[in-house]
Amino acid sequence: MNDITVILADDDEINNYLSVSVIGEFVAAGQIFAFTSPGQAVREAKSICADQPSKRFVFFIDINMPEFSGWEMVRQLQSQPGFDFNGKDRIYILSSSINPADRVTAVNEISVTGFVEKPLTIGMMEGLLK
Amino acid sequence: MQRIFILFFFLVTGLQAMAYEIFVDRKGTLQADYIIRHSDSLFYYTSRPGLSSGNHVVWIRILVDNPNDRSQFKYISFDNPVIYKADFYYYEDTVLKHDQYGFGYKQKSKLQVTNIDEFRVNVPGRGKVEVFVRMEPRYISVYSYEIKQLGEMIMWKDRKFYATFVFIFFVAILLFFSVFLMRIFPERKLFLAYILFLVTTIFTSTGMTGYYRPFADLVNPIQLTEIFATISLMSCLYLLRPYFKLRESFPRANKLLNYTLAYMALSLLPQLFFFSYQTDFFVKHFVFIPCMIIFTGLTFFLVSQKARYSIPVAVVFFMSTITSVTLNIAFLGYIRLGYWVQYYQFSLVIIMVALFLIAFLQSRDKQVVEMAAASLSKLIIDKTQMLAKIGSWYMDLPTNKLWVSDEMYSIYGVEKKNPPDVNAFIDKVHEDDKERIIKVWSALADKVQDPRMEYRVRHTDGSIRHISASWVISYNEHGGAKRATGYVQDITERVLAEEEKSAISSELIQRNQVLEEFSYSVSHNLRSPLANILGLCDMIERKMKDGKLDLVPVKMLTDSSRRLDSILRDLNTLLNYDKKLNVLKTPLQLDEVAKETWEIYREKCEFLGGQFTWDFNGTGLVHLVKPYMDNIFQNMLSNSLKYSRPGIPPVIHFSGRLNEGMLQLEFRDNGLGIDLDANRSKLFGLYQRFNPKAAEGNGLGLYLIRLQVEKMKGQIDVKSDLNAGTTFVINIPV
Repeated sequence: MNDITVILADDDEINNYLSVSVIGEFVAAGQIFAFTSPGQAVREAKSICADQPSKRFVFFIDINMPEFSGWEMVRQLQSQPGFDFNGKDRIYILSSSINPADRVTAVNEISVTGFVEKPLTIGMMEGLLK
Repeated sequence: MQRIFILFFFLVTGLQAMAYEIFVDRKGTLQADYIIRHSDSLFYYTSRPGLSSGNHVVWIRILVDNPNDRSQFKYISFDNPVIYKADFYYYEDTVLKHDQYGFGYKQKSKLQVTNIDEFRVNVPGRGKVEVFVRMEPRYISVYSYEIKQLGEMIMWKDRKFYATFVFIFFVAILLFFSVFLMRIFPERKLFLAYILFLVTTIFTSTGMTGYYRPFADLVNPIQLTEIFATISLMSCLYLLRPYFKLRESFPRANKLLNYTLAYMALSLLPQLFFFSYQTDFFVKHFVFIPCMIIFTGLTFFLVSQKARYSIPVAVVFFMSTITSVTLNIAFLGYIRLGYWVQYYQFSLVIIMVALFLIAFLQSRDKQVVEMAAASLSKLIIDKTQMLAKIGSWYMDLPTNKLWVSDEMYSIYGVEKKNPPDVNAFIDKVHEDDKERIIKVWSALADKVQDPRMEYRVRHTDGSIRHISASWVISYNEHGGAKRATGYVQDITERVLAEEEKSAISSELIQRNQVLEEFSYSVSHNLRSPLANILGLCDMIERKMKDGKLDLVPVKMLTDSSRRLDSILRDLNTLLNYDKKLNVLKTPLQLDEVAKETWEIYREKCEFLGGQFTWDFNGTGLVHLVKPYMDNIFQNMLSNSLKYSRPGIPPVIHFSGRLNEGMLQLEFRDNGLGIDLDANRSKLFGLYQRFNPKAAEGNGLGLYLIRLQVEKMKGQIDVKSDLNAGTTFVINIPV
C-alpha cells in the first residue's frame, strides 16, 4: 500500500476530515492529501506525479464544488500525461448525491472507476481496496 | 320592361289598323260606305260591310255629253247575276225607272248586300256617271265621274295607287317593328302570336274595306277575312297558352281557353266547307246561339271564382268568344259589318292587353318566389358565415369588380358599401402585414403565388383580429385569369388559444426546471451535512471503542447539524415563497430601503472599513414589492461585503434611475469579482456557488433575487471582472 497516493477534492472540510480519518486506517498519513479547491488538487497531483511517476493515484472527487465541478476536474486529470486511469490510477466520485443521474454519469465516464456515496466508511474502503 | 314594349306595339298596331280604317274611310274621295271599282270600261260595285241592315237602293245615273241622249242607259247591265234581288232604279229620258236585274228577293224585302259581289255598268260613250245609293229617305251621291273618253276610267287608278301605297307603308313600318321586336323579345311564341295578330289586322282592315283585295277575283274576300281572322285569333290564344302557364294559378282557366279554341274551330267549319250561304247560315246559327249562351254563363262563373287572374282570364275568354261570335253574326247580316272591323280589331287589342296582364302577374309571382328563394339562401349563407366567421369574396379579374359577402364586412370591421371598395379592406390590415397583403393582392393572378396566407386586421376600436385567407383563380380557355374566388376566416380565438397554450407550456417548462433544480439541490445539499453526520457518528463510535474520543468530531457534528438546520430553513423559505403567487406592490422610497439595509450591515461594514453609498434621487416613489426589495438590497450588500477582496476595504454603491417606464437599479462593488466565462450560466441557479471562498455562502441569495425580480416582471444582469468588482443591474417595469 505504500505506493498509493490518495488525493481528496471536496469543498466540505468536515467530509475531508472524515474521509482522511477513514482512509488513514489503510494508507499512511503522509500519502493522503485533502483539498477544498479542485484546482489546487489538480495542481498538487500533477506535481506529485511529476516527482514520482510510478506512484499509483487514487482520487476521491466531490461533484458539487464552487470553483469548478467534479466532472470538470475529472476532465482536467484525464488530459494530464502521467496518469493512467485505465491502469494503475483510480478516480472515485465521492458525493452526497443520491440522484441516480449522477451515478449514471459516473459509470459512463471511462476514467471514473466508481461512485461512492458519502460518508466514506471503513467497510466501503475495504470493498474498494479489493 | 320588355313586356311593356310589346304591349305598346300591340296597341300601336291595333290603333294603327283602326286609324287606317277611319282615315281612308273618312278622308277618302268616297264619302259613303260604298266602293265603286272600275276596271277597263266596267264599274264594279261592291257593297261594303255595314250596309247590311236597312233597305237601300242603288242608283246609278250616267250622264253623257248630250244630256238628251239617254239611250246609253240601255247599256247598263249586270253580267254577274247575284243571288238576291235588288231594286235597281235608273233614269230613262229623265224618267226614273225601276228594274230588277237578276237580284233574288230576300224575305222581308231586304237587300242583302253582303253577298252582292258586284255589278257592272258598261258605258259606251262619253258622259258623266253618277252612282247613288238611296238610304231612305235620302239619296247619297256615292260617286261622280266625268267620262271624257269612252272606256277610260282614270280615277280608280289613283285610288288604287293610294290604297296600295298606304298598305305597303304600314306593312313596312310594322315589319320594321317586328324585326326590332325580334331582337328584344326572347319569347318566340309570343313573337309569333304578335306577327299573326299583325297580319290579321292588315288583311282584315284592307280586305274588308276592299281598297286592296289581292284575291278578290278568286274568293269572297269577306269570307276569306273571316276565316283568316278566326284562325289567327285561335293561333294567338293557342300559342300564348303555354307561355302564360295558367295551370299553376288557376286550373280552370286552361280548360276554358280550350273550350274557346274548340268553339272557334267549330264556327270556322262552315266557312271552310260550305261556301254556300244557306248551309253557312244554318250551321252558324246552330253553333253560335247555344255556344254564346254557354260561354256567357261560363264567363260569369269565371269572374265569380275570385281566383288569382280570374278576371283577366275571363276577359280573354269572353272577348275571344264574343269576337268569334260577332264575326259570325256580322257575316250573317245581323249587325253592320262596317263597325265590326273596328270592333274586331279593338277586341283583339283588349285580348292582348288582358293576356299581357296575366303574363305580367305571373312573371311577377315567379319573381316573388324566386326572390324569396334567393333571399332565403342568402339568409342561410349569411347566418352560417356569421357562425363560422367565414367571409367569402369574388372578383372578376378583367374588370376588377369585387363582390363580398356580408360577413366580410364584420370580419374586417368595414362599413357596408355597394359596390365594395378593396382599399377599405386593405386599410384595415395590420400595419406590419399591410405590405405583404398589397404585394399578394397586386399579383393575385400569379400562378406561382401560394393562394393562402394569414394576417391580422385592426378594427376601429383597436382590437386585433387574426385572419386566415385562401383563394382560387379560374382561368379561361386561353389561360387568362378570369376570376378569383376566396374566403377569409376569423381565427382570432384559435390563435389566442394557441398563444395561451404555449404560454402555459412555457410556464410549465419553467416550473419543471425549478423543480428539477430543487430536487437536484435537495439530493446534493440536504444530504451533504447528513452524510457528514452519519460519517461523524461512525467515527465517534470507532473512537469511543478505542477510547480515544476527542472533541473535534463532536464539534463537527454540531456544525453539520446546524448546517442541515440552516438548509432546511432555506428550503422552507423557498417553498413558502413559491406559494405567494400574488405580490402586492406598494409605493416605495428606495433610499429608505437602502438606509434600512445599511442599518442592518453597518457594523459589519465598519468592521471591514468599507464604504457604502447610495443615490436614488432620480427615482422618487416607485411601486414595488417591499419585502422583495428589502431582500434584494440586503443580499446585494451582504454579498458585496462577503466577497470583498482581502485587504482592500469594500467600496459599495447602490443607485437607481427611471428610464422610459423602466426602473434601472445598479449594485456596484470593488470586490473579488466573478469569472463570468465559467460561471454565468449557474450564477443565478439554486445552491450554486462559484467562489472558492464559498464556505459562507449557501447558494440561495442570487437565486432568490432572480425569482423575486422575475416575479416583478424584471430582469437581472451582471457585469464583472475578476479582482476588480461586480455590478448587478436590475431592470423592473414600474
